[in-house]
Amino acid sequence: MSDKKEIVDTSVSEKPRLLGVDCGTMNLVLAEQNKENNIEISNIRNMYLPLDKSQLTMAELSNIDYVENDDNIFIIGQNAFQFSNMFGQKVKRPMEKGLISPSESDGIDVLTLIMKQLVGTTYNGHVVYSVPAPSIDMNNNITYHEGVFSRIFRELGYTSESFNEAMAIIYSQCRDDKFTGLAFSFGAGMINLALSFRSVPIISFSVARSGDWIDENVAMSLGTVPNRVTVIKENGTDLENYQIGNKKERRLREAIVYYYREVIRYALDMVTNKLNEESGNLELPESMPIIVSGGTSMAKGFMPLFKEVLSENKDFPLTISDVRHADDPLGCVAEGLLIRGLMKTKTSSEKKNE
Amino acid sequence: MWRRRDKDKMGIRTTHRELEDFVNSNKNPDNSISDQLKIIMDELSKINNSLDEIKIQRIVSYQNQPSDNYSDNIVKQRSDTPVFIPSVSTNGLTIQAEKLEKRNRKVNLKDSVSDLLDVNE
Repeated sequence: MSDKKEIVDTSVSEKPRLLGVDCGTMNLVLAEQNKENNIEISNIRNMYLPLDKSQLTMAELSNIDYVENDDNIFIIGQNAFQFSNMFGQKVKRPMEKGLISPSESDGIDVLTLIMKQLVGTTYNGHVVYSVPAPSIDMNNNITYHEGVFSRIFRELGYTSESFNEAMAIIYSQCRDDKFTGLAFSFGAGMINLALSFRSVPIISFSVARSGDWIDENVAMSLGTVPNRVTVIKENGTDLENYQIGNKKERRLREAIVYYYREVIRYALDMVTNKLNEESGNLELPESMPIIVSGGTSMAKGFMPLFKEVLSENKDFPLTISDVRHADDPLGCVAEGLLIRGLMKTKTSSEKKNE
Repeated sequence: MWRRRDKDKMGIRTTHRELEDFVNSNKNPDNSISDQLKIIMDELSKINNSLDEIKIQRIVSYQNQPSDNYSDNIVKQRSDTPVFIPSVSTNGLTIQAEKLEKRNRKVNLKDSVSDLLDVNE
């Protein structure tokens, strides 16, 4: 099967598009301004489930989002997640630990089509997309990751630029604090952190423990598969009360709480160490807010647990004015990326007019 | 560009037939070949001008669209050179998918951007 050529009529005026796209391990999130001057947010699960064509009939596929070639069907998005539990198979992910996965051979092709489904094609668009900061607890490099996303957006008709994920949270959530704060993005693959003073990143790094790490370790501790843990985690888990559901579920929920606590403690310890290392070189404001976001932070009871673990950290070197959850924990990075794009476009157009 | 050119070609073909009818109906044995050629050239020039006029009208009508969309107004100024999109390289994979659901958030983007620029200064 050959790729279908797509021809765009560049002589017809099309509204130029500016997009913010959060390229997360679990979710791809798009932010764009609509005609009513609101921000329109849409997201799609960044995962797929390869199945043999014989496993499903065309009628069964009628309401499912999928990608296909001659032999295989790749169910994409939320449907992949649901079907993986039905078929007892593990979903595949184009990304792993915040970056393009080195192990999935079909991953980038599927990712390209999932991205096309999210942002569409154009010929005069511009995308600001998120990239993680370098990790302090594992070896990684974002050069390849950036190159792949840049190529995907170029093929879809957009120019693109990358921007730090946690700084995007500062842009969207800290306007009233003059873009000063400490942002945590608890994603699936990693936690991204940025300390910003008046929109200038002072410290920025990531750690490779977050939602997936919780799922894998709970699964390992209780002898189940990570998918099953993710479903329990995302459906009705209350981190303040794990005594819900049948006996098996209660055991899973109890383990989930322990690993959530561990992830938060680890992230706060890493910030403490980093700030202590840099303390001689930094001039920080008297106090600043902490902003928490990301899909992993959406579990019920996450914020009380975060505050509890923070209060236990007696060495935390910052005075915190406020600890708050982002307005839209899944969409705030994309929103900040859109604001970044608008700011840069405005600056460059003002320079042109001078 | 291709589609547009096709449309133009169809328009010109139609006009050619009209032109042929016009020339036949205005045939005058007293006119020299050069006179007849001049009439044809004049008509062709009128057609070209009207095609250009249509293009200009389309561009002007787009540029004059009233818009209170902040990003629209800003991004318009970018006017990156249009590119001709090649096929998306997905090694034979095709997609079947429903339209995505969108949710709205009310955010004053204009103020966010100007505050950010103020802080940066």
